[in-house]
Amino acid sequence: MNQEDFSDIFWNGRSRDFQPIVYKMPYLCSKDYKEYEVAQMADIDLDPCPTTVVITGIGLITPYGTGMHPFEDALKCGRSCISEMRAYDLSRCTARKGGYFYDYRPEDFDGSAGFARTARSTQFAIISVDQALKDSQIDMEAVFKDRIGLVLSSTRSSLEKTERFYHALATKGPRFVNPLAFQESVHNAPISHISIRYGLSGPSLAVTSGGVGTVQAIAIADQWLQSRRVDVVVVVSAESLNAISHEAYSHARGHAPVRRGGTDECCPFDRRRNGFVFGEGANAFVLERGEDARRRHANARARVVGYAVVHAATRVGCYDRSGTAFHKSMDAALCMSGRSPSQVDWILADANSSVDGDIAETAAIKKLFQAGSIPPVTAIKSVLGETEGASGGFALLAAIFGLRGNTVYPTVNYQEEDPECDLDCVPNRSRSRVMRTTLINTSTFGGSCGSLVIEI
Amino acid sequence: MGETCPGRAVVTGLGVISPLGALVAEFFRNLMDGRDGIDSIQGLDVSQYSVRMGGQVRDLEPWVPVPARERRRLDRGSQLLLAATSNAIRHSGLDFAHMDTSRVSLVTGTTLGGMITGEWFYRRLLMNAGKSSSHRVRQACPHAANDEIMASWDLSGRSVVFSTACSASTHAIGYGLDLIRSGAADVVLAGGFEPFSELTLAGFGILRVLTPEKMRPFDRRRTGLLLGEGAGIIILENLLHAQKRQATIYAELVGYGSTSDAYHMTAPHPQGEGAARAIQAALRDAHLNVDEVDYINAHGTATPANDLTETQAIKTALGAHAYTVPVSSIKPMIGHLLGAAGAVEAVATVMSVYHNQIPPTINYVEPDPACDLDYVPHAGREKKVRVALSNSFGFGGNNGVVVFRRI
Repeated sequence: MNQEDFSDIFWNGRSRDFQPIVYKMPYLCSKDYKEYEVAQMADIDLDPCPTTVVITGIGLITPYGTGMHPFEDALKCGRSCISEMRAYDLSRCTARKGGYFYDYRPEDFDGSAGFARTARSTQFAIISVDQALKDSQIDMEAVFKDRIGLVLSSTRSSLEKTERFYHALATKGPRFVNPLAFQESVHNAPISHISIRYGLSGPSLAVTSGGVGTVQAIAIADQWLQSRRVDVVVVVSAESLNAISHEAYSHARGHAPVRRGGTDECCPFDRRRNGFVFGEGANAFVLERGEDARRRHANARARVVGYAVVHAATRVGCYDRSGTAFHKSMDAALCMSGRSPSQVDWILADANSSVDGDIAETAAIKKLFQAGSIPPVTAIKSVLGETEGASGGFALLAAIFGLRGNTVYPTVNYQEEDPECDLDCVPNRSRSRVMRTTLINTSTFGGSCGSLVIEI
Repeated sequence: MGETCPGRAVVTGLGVISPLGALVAEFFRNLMDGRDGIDSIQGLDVSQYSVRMGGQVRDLEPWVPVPARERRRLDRGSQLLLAATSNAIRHSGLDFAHMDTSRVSLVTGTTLGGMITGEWFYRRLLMNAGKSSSHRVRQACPHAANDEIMASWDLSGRSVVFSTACSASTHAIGYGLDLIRSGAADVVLAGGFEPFSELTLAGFGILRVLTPEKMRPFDRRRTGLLLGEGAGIIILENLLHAQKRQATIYAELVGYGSTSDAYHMTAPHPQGEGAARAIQAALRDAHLNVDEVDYINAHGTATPANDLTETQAIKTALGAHAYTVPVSSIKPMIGHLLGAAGAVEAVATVMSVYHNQIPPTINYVEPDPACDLDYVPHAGREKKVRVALSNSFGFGGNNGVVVFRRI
């Protein structure tokens, strides 16, 4: 479509079939890479189905560093970032551990006062999106930016600024609160900043559904792309650690140690497990329809071939130990993908060291897969911790890295077998295996379950 | 997946809880009568605040379908959502016991989520009050209210929460449309909830958008908004599914448009460019021409900025036809319900289509030459409404528009 046709529709509001093109001219590769790694990966063979959604750009920031290699390396070597929290005072709280990015300095990315003023998770989100857009090699000067959508998954990170705002309110009164703290404390602050920074004027949403957020965001992106609301979607997931989250989820009996006298370690599937341990970080993906990616010769990282999100019909914080919801979500995601359980090479589990959640997932996997043909099951939260709204995205990254590297990552900190969680959880050491298809599970603190099927 | 094929989304039930009532018929009648639901804020110590008026829900308890002991642990947001959902389900006549509830999804919008519980928890920490009840603390999660609904009615479809401030529940309704169209769900409970809190009262107060007197959308002397609380749920249903059970259909949801200003964290784009595109996108999605629009339920927050940019956006999108379309804001009657505004206003918009009646913009005294559209001042109006829009333009330039049409 040329500029005149586009203007015609824009200004006259004529309703007719809108056939968008993404680029007015052939894309140009953006040479302005920053210090951090941008994924250097070979093309995959794009699916014959032209509308399957593919991932054409990735970006991430973790306690291991910015970009792909530090995280991939940590996953492969099984190096956990979880330790006693030194970042803030948790002395009155029983939850003392977390996976925190100690070496992070905002000025490494952007030294402006405006950036420093934003919440930590907002900064993480911007850094990830910056990488992902560059990695996608979309020429941002050449595209119609109202054809780019943006979906954020982030649930607990707004608490950082909310606490600061409310502390002033509760201790001094409404005349002493900070307006800038309020505007940075809303859940959608990251998407406001990102849309302003990159001029993204298409639809934008903030999903605050907990751990299933990334899968829900990908489902929304897929819907938008299939219905041609937009041509590109940036899915970003970000969570940061803050003292109030540790306190709250400790009182909520979710964060380890839940049972008194039990361990406070993060040990998914292990008999000692006693609650999840928080982590932080952000990840971003650029999603497009396969046909568009092929047309502009984009580097496709992986295909999203199936997903599902269901609810266990339980109240917040309560798990259904029978695993019915996990089973439904995995089954529905596989059904959508057209793959059978026997084609799944690897499962990236949601397992986060919670007492009931790990059992529920085990039961579901055993029900879905035939005995003797259950693929290896890795709990990456054993190295990264529970990153809630960002957890689905990190599992997706692990899937992409593992599939391409033919490496099954380990579940670390596994010492004592639990007969109720008797899966092959790849204890402590990674393995080589040629793989094509993975199944990823996510869940929210009781309630929602979401699954993704990813292929290369 | 499912017996019904992808298709059209119709509205078969409405539920609301607001400063102007909790039965849809009563709520809409109060709107049409131009009743003012704003009153002095009660239940909070507002002596330190410059603004002490707001729209509160006075009698929430009777509408929350749980025993008193259970209700005590529930966050106020969860209670509001339970009330609206229960009313909507009753209104629709849906019987979940005889349905495949994996085909029923819930999508809500909110700003605070469970922050009333969050405030309570934080005050306990400040006082070193010891261990807090885990069941109560969990209610602070933004998805806790949704989880309560899914558990109460044994629903196993998707449960999604959006938090894009003032546009959140409009996006929830728009996403519900996408779910029905794509065949991912047969029934979607779509809406939002927002309690009244110190957090938002202080936040909006320090941003200087609250008015010391009355809300006067589009008025020359408008000085800002007042907050309100409530919840709204619209039951969206696949048309074939609704026809099979001979449900009453109130309107069809035909279009949804969503854009971002990409301009400023709190101020809207000065020409309302993003808002105009959202209106155009919604009409395009609905396959409707601009001259088919009969009514616009405005965002109309009575801030100097919003009402001007919204007026300009409507003119940009509708062209000359903007001058023949009545535009009204119900916010002066109930307050700005933030995350629930889109939902409660959508309920009013559906009722406009169903009853061919348009609610007024009250407190309108002096016309503003820069805002020169027909704002239905003072009194409600009888008018044929075949197509109606509902606008929600949120902080940070997040714009959502939904389109309803008589079926």
